[in-house]
Amino acid sequence: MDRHALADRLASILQAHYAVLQVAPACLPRLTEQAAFMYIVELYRLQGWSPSLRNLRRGMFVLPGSPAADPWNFSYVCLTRSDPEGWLEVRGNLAVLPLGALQPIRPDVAVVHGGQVPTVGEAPLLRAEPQKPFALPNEMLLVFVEAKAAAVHPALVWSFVGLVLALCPECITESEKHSRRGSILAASGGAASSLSVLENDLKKRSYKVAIIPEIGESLLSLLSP
Amino acid sequence: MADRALELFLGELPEQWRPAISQIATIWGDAARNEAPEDEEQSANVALLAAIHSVYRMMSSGIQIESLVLPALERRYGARFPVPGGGFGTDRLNDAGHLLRELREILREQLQMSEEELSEWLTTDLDMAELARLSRSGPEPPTAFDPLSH
Repeated sequence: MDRHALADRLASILQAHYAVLQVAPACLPRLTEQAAFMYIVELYRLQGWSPSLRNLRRGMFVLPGSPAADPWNFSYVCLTRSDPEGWLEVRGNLAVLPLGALQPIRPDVAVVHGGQVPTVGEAPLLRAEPQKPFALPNEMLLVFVEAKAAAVHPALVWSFVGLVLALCPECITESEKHSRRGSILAASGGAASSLSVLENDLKKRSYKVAIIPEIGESLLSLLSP
Repeated sequence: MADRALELFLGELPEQWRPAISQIATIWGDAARNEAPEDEEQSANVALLAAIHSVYRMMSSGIQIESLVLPALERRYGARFPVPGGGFGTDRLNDAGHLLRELREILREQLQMSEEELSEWLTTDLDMAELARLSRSGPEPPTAFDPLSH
């Protein structure tokens, strides 16, 4: 192949579509998060849970765009089942406080036990201090998802494994904890070959991680009648 | 030193994407170099192809979510699903669609692939053997001086 000719032609195409490329870095992550959120909801539906949208705004399901947003001001999904196991909620950008940590972290999608996040009416009462943002205790978190628009690369692995370590340290074995710098670097190397290699690599290391490539395609297949 | 063709491609990408795409290109270029240390041309080709593949996948995934997935969710749940902070919007979505079509056209021509082969390559994970094969396909780069043409 003529690499230089290819690059020249590509460069002129990218220049011609400058405007759309300027907005893409901001909106692709948000689209991916939105899809990841509803993908989790549809997976629960497949497992026999009934999802219902809550806290809509004028018929719109609105997820928080800003990480600092108060959760009671945004939409979420309530998951119920006929058996009396209680209900679950799927939340976007919810602040979760890992054990012993001072600062919360905010997974893109969190599945939590129902009734733990205050509603608008309860919010002022449940806030320990009026100025302190709400954060859910770690033990109420059941599942969390990080959505990345970029194709998998080492930085993704680093950030994801870092989150696992903060939220779910028991998912990482002792030996991994002690040598995590080296092991994560090794996992990053795995990212070089393919998603399936990376997934196997993480499984071998006892990380309870599922990687969903092509989230849009995967969600579409769940939504098709 | 980075390859000039790759630099040219990276230079036209949004600034926020350059580090990640450059990293992907480096990883695959290095992997190709490990397999064939003497073939610098192949490792440069592989690096560029990996970068293009990643950008295409990222854009096509976003377009698919906004144009197909969100409307499907709307039909299922009877509610609208606005993208927090805004998505592409109709006009830019059309523009993004044109961009992808033009990228496909150039790739098909340069790599001499059928539409089906190209679709398959763009929708599967990167694979070293396939990248190496593609890097040898299509038109050869011009040589600096060709006595037969004079």
